[in-house]
Amino acid sequence: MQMCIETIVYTILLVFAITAVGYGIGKLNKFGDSDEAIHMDEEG
Amino acid sequence: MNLGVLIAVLAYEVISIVGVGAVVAYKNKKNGGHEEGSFAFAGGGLPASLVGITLALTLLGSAHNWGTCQNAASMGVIAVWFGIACAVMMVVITQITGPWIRRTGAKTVGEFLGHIFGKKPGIMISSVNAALGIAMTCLEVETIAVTLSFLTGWEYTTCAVIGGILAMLYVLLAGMKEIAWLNLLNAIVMYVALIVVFVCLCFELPGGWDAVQSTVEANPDTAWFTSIFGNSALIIGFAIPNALGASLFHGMAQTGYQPVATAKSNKEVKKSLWYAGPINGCFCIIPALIGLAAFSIIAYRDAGSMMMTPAMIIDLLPKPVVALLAAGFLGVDLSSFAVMALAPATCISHDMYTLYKPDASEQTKTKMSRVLILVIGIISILICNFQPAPVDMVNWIFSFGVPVFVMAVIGIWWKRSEKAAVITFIVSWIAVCVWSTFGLQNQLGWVNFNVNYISLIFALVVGVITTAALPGKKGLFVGKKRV
Repeated sequence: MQMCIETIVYTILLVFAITAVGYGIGKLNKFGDSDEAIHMDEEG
Repeated sequence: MNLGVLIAVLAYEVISIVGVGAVVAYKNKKNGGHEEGSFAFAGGGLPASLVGITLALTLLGSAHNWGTCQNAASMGVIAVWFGIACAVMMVVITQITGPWIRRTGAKTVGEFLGHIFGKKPGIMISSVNAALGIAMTCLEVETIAVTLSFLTGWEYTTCAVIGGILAMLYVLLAGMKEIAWLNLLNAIVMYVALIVVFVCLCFELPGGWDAVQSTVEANPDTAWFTSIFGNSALIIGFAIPNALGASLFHGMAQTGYQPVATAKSNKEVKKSLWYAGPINGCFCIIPALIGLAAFSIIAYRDAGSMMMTPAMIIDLLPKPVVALLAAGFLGVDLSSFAVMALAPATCISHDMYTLYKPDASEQTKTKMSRVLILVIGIISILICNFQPAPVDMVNWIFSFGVPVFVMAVIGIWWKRSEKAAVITFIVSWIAVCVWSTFGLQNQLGWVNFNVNYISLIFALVVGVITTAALPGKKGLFVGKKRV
């Protein structure tokens, strides 16, 4: 049972750590904060 | 044969298809036949919770269920890293690429990539994606056959034929919208079933989980099977490339973008990570544990790495629990088959056929899609016996998406060159084939140098050099307002 508990706890910790770090990275992605459309006619 | 269980499982599949079909038809009628409220775009107004749950559950498939059980027989609980890698993938989709694509107003990733690469690379990506879709359907037929085999006790090949026919009927019976919702329903059933299976195994395993651990640790060759950090070589050769491949493939694919496109705003997309990451990332825990439990009991090892877990489940667990698990697994694999078969069929009938017959009517294209689904189904049945393990196969498929991601990022933030994209795709895909498909990796003995590393190295080197050397337009987002 110790193996099961360790696997469950470590996996959950890792997954939440990745989620938290990822959310922090998302905060740095300012370009993705807005919903304002990029105008494609400005291409090139 | 477990006739009662088989009937219960098939009854669940039929009832869920008919039930979901009726609900979708009712909602469509209520909306006056408009697309609002459908899975495809949901009126673009879903909150973070629904976007996250949908994203997590639609990207659950054969590699998460039987694939992880099978992996546990060769690497123990390290198999959970496939799920952890998928949490990284959720970060890329919800925090980086998803919000970017939404800002261009593109409804599909194909439309978005068209803005970056132009026509020729777009057709190349479509063609390769069609072939990869067929590879994915083979994988789903394989796992459908495993579920049927463990329910009926019939030969694997017989089950592959019946499973393939069942899968083709499934696609033709249920429409695209129904399949999307069915995938969600089946993933929920599968999640609940796995928790029930774990609780039951606490009481039914001979000697309990302690016996599993002591048996595996008694052998020096497998002592590391009981820790997720037990083998550093596998972290490099399995965990990291899984995260890399899954993130880069789904980060720039319709599979990852579809749920994101349904969100109310980019803020909701970013918040959805708190649902998508944990729900998908933690899924592999129980399949890895039950796979290891089956491996620890000598009597089941003779069944082979893929069939030892089903053999243990059918032997130890009460029939209602077996039925619940089989219904969830079979349902998810059938709906995944449907999604995977429809994608290449649509790609060929809509993107490639129209190159020769630009005036083809919608009716002709739909008829062609149906014929193609049958052809894809038959191909899947014929070759599903000759495939590697599901997780290896999935990684090989992911590796083809790596150069697309790399060139998309270059095309967004630096420069868009059609020629550079074509050269990078061709060189990287040839490298993948030489390394993995034709076996250079095995000849060199570089077992832990995963194909995703090769794909990334070639894509970065060739992509950067050709983009710098060849003429092109400025990056899609270069000079655009940041917020």
